[in-house]
Amino acid sequence: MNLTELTINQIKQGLKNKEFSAVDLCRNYLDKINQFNEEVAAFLTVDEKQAILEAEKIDKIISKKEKLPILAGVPCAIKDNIMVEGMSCTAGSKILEKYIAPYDATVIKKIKAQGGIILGKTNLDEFAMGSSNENSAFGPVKNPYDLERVPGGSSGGSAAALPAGFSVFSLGSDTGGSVREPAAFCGVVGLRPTYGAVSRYGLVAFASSLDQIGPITKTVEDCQTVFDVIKGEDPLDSTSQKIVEKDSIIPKKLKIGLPKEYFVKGMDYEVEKAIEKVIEKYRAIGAEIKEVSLPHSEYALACYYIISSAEASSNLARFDGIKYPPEDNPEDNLKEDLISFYLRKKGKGFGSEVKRRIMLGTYVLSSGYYQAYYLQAQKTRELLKKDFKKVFEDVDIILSPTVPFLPFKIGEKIDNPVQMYLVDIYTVSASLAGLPAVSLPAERGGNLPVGFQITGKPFKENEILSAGKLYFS
Amino acid sequence: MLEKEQVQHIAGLARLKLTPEEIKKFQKDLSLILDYVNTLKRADISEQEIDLSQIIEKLPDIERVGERRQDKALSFYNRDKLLDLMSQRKKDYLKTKPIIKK
Repeated sequence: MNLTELTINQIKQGLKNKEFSAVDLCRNYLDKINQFNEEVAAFLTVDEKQAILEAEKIDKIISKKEKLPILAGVPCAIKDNIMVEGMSCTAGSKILEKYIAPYDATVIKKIKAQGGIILGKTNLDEFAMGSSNENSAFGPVKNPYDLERVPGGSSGGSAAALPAGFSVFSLGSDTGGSVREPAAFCGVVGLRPTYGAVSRYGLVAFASSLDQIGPITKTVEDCQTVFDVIKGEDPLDSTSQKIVEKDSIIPKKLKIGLPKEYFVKGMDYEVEKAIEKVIEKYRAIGAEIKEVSLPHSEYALACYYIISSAEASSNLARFDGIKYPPEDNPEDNLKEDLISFYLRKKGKGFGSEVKRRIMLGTYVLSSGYYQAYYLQAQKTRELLKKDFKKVFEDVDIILSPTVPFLPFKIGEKIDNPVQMYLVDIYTVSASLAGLPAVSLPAERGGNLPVGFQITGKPFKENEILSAGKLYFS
Repeated sequence: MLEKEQVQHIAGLARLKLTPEEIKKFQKDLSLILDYVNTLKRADISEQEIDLSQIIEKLPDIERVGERRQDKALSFYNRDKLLDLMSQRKKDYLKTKPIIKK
């Protein structure tokens, strides 16, 4: 049995039947990380001692024949913009290189309470800004399917950790597609929950009207399990909501909408072929396939980059070089005033993509441009939301590719920001509308993974996941 | 293309010190991005009313079920660790650079 290929359920059975111990399991993953992380660069921090300590606790529970919690002994990886008490939390930035999280994020508390074993923190684009992981201040993550290619971003380390055999599941964060896109590029499942379904307390804020934490897993079943553990209302995040919905079941005759605006030229041939096959499979199992229209789709990406950058420029103002100290610098002892200190610390601490977004955000919020950009974008966002509402009167779920491209070569798009932003073209709409969306691995023609995306109605995660299970059944 | 002065002005507002090379690069990059996001100007928003204070509240489009936490100060359990994250600290005082010029 290869222990680094197991799903959550298989681990549960294996531990129960004493096929292996939690410590054995944990060691296997740590060995894999020690052997291959240098190549893949998925992890920024690994805490072996703590992980083994926690695994020993699970083995004790097993030996006492007590009831096992849901994630008992399951090794997992956490994106390095989510706080785990006592571990560093860099958000992929030099400016937070020395920062040690003083508390657990709510999602981490929940995972720990269910016996999950946190192996370490995963690499990401700086402050989660990017679609390829090339914006990490600590070097890019490689795609385990082809080490010359990107794993997607910004949760690239979290996604790459799964096919690399480093972890059973991961947590990522998704602002414009940062869970779904790397999941698609690494051939795994990635869920962006409804805005408000999961608490963001303890997540380093990027764009607060868009950020969501979501699971990255090997199977849809695992995705459901992890989502059920982390979801729910939290008094520490005022945007989180109590989910009143009972177990919703998808209708017998599933109605699937294909937005005509998404199926246009420009997609990679392999992606197009793979999505056609997915549609065929749904048709074969009795789903009704309908063309639908999201008429404002063409504005989604522009809308997203204006709103997210505006919010980022405000959220990142807190990194002033004083509160979350970056590395000491002899120049810090210079006699300079506060403004010069800020200018120097921020200028040196942030990488170029983060600066670009702060600049863009500051520009679109500045006097004279606010109406033309920010207000225009917010109004267009309302139109996008209405588009979805209308389509969901007609269909149960919306199906599309997750990304129009196959995983691209490292360096291929880095010099043109607009080319890079186009990677997010199918994922930003659900983010702007606050809707749940999951990326699932499609059957692929070549060596590289292709993902397809299912978007659902608000708080209907169970429906999109059930629709996903149907595909793999 | 954005003027050098415009980029410098925005960098000042954002409290970012940029090198001359960075300013040049951002002139080009930001112009490229603004050209792209200008597509948004074609969207017809004339009918669309918006209450910006409701953006987050109404995302997603459902009735809020949870209750708000009371506006009450609570003490943080890991107070010292939190204060230790300041670059310079003297007991409960946090040191910064001077903001008033003599």
